[in-house]
Amino acid sequence: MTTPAGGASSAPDEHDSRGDTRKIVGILAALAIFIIVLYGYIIPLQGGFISSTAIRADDLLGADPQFEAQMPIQEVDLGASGRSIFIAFVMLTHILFANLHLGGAWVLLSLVVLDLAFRKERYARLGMSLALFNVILFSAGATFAAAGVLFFISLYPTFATQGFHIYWWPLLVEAILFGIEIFFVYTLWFTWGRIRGAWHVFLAVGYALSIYFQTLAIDTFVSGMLTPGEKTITWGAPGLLGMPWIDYLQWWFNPTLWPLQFHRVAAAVSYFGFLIALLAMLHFRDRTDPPSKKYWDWAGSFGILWGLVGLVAQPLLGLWYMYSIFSHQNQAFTNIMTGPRAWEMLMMIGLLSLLIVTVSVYFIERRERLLVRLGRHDIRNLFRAFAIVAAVAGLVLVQPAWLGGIMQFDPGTWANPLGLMYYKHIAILVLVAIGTIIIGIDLLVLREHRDKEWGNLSRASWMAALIAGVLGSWIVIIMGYVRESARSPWLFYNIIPVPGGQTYPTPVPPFQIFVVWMIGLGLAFAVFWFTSRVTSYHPEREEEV
Amino acid sequence: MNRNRSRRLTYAMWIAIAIYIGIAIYVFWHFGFTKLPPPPI
Amino acid sequence: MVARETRMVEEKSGKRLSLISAVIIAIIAYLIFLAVVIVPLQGGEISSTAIFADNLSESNASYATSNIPVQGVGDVSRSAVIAFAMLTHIVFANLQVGGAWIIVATALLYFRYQRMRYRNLARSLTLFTLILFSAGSTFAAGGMMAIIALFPDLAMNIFHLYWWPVFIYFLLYGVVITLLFVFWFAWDRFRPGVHLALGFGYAISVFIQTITIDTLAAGMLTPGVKAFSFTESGLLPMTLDQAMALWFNPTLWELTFHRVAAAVAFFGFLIATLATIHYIDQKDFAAKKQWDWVAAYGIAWGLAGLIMQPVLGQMYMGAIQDNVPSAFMMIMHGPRAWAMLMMVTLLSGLFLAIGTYFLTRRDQLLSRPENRTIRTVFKGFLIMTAVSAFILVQPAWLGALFIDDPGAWINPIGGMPLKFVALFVMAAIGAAIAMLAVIILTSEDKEGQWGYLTRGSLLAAFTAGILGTAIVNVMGFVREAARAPWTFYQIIPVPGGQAYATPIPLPVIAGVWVIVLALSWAVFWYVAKVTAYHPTDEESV
Repeated sequence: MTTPAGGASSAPDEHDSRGDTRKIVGILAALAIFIIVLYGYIIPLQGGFISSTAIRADDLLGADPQFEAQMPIQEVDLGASGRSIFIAFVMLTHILFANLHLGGAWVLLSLVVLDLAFRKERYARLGMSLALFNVILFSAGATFAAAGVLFFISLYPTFATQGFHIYWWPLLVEAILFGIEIFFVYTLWFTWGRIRGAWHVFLAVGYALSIYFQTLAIDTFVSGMLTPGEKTITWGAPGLLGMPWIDYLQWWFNPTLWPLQFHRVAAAVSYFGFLIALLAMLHFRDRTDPPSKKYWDWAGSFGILWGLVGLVAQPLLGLWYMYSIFSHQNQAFTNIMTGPRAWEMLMMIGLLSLLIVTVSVYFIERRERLLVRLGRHDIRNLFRAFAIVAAVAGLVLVQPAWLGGIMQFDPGTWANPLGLMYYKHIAILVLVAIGTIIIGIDLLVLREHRDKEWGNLSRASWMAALIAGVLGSWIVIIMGYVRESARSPWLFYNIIPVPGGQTYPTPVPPFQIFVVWMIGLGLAFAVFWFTSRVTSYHPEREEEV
Repeated sequence: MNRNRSRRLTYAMWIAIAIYIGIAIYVFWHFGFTKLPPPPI
Repeated sequence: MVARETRMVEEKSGKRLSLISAVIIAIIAYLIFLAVVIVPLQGGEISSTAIFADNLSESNASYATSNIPVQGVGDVSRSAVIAFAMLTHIVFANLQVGGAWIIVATALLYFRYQRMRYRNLARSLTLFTLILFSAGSTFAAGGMMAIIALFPDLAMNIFHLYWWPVFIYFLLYGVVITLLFVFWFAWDRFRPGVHLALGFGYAISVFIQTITIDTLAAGMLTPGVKAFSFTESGLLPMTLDQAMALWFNPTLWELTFHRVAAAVAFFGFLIATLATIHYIDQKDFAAKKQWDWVAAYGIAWGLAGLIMQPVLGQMYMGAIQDNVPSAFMMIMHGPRAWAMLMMVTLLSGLFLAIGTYFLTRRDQLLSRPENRTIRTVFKGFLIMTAVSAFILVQPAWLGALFIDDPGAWINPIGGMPLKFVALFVMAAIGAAIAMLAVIILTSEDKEGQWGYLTRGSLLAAFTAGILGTAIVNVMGFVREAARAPWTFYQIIPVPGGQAYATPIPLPVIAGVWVIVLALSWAVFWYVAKVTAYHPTDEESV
């Protein structure tokens, strides 16, 4: 049994315990420069500070008067964007908590199956920790969901009244599934190690499916806001159905329902994986005993792999989603791809590139000793090449397509020769390939060899995992904001406008949303870390890993 | 036997990964290069 | 020694089981009589929508409308969906409203006396409420969603008018769960002073949260305004005076304090019932001893909450009479009076069950010759409670919708003055029993007696828990039925007119109650199994 302190030779150990922290400095510097250039240069030059309410003023005039606000606007004392900031804060924070279940359920299922198949204590331990973590944080997600509902009805009364009526049945299903979901995850935690394997797998599958269908139910609403199933809202007679059945189906199963649903699941899995990594790194630092250090090192690596799995699935699903928006809500597509909200997509893809680079650095640093010991210099060089190629791909991806105009094809704009979508598609493909191959190498080539190495986490890989956790969470709420701002200045696209007209412009401006992101992330991380301190089962003795 | 099985599993996984990358290329080709975005006029 | 006493108890339990059985049978029999005879004879089957049809059509109070068609829910009435969501929510929310004070008081007792049983109990209850917090908030969210979809005009208006109270209500969710969670986490980690401060912070924030939502719940029955005129825009849609009149409406405080007392009683009886379940479940003597004690402790709390309710309830009723006389007529002297009768039936049942619990459980102590007087006093209490109950459950009239309708038969012993006396007698007996219970609970002589709970007392404590939950449900319905056919009294009617009559008829609401009771008790039992801290050895419990 090797302990991390008493390694074989001392000199390489000294080196390894730090790792190459220059790479980490490079990642952080790249992130900082990217944000500064984006906010200081690209956003102003792409019209990102001009509201959609102003840009689409003519369209707004055509809105059906019955969907205009009939009540006075409820203000919240946060300026003209106050209401939108409120909703953004509540909904983005809700997403951070709700995704714990949407993504976490599948990770938990994997742990239940691994526990059943391999009977290693670490699977059960991590599974129980994560299940209890989700049980305790269930109420936080539900509370933010409820608060969001309240804010909608108070701040956007016409929209909420219409929306909740159209989506009454999906929402009813969603509310019922809340109960079923908490039953499953609670029982899953409670019965760990107490009931037979098949039943336990059943509970894990039930949990995952109930949250999957719950998300589907709410996604009928969420996707319908961007791509409504009909041109306007036409009500019929009172009763079970307020409009013909076929119309309801158009609204619920609208053109972007499925792409949004699958994209969300993949994003949530990725987010949950990176979050495990982040929390594991904090526990790693917190605990002093070797068994715990080994265990949390492993948990971090496990989380990163799941994060990567979710990450490489997203570009494909995202492209499908974008294509659905392109064909069904072309104006919204131009807003976010070739218009004043394109900076959000740039930011998202920039963070995605940086995530792949960070994960590559994690693997370079994390497997350094192992690869040297195994003599696999080929893999070592491959990882290094990946980090460099990913960085180059990232540089291509963050190119703004144009500068100096609100829309890409406005007269007088400067077209960036490097900003063509063709290049970007290739660059994303390269990132997907890199991510997939890293998963393959780590799982297939290094699988059995990794076990002896746990506990020897170098400082650089520790920091890389931490950064991956932050970026993986941030990217989720950026994506939420992209959808929200694609819709502006409408609540139901081209049907119900954001009430208040030019006095209350949307979307939330770039600096304000940045603050919302930081507060949401800060709050969520504080809660996560605190909860994870109480819900974690640490190893009490050395186990045979 | 066990070693053989794990080797076969490894091959299967690599093939799955290769297929995934293949699908990715196809998806990007299908949506990205041929349909998105509208060509500049 | 132990074997002999147990045998002695077993011999007596056969007889003692008959007393509590008689109480249960009497309650059930009367409830059936109520449903079959009194409800039809007092016009309880006629909807308020029909009775107030003229009133509804004349109403010219203004509010914002959306012209959206009524959303049906199949054969289930909309109001039943709301009733289910809201009554279930109340049951779980009351765990916090009442439980917070009991938990923090128990923790206080632990820090003062350092006895393990206080500690075990406080920790069990904290984890219990912590886990069930999400159930309460989920049903709150579900209920809110159902209100928005099923009563769109109501929702649109009230969430606008009550934006700030409801906003604070939601912020407090975060505060409550944080404090509760830290309070649980703090066991063995924080200093007692800090720990208790957290506990009191939790209890107070729950209390403030109850006030904020009661501005709405009370306002729906006694709105402080005549109509909703959205005159302003900005932070408030109306003038500050109007907002204050609406939020701090005439029954806000009465409702809030009545709710807190009811929640304390509910939680106390809940502890008693769960304790009996653990008592049966646990095999070792130390655990039996602890849970026997816990049942008595819970009943003492339940009694404390219960004896406050008649007083607070009368104040609440008085405020309703002053401000919305027609609603008062409806629930006291009109076709919804049966709901009040049902409530006092359950109240009487609770007092009877508790009396029986003490009479059967104190047996070993009271059967000694020198304690014959106390035993006689207890028997007298029980008889007086039964007599008071008989008076309380009398219908005041029969054969007409309202008591002052011509042709109504007036029940000579159904008058309010006599009932006030009966209520007072019950409350006084309850107070006396509570005091005796506290003395016995803390007496050192009694220490050796714990752990020999008779079957009669077990059943009585269990019954008290069920009745305590049922009465909370009935009280919620009484307020809802008083309001019908309005969602916001005399301002916003229940949409749909005569086609969607309210309140829900007795068979439907009874079905809802059964479902709510079964669901909540299944959850309680299941969660209690996991969250209970049992004494592991023969420690001094």
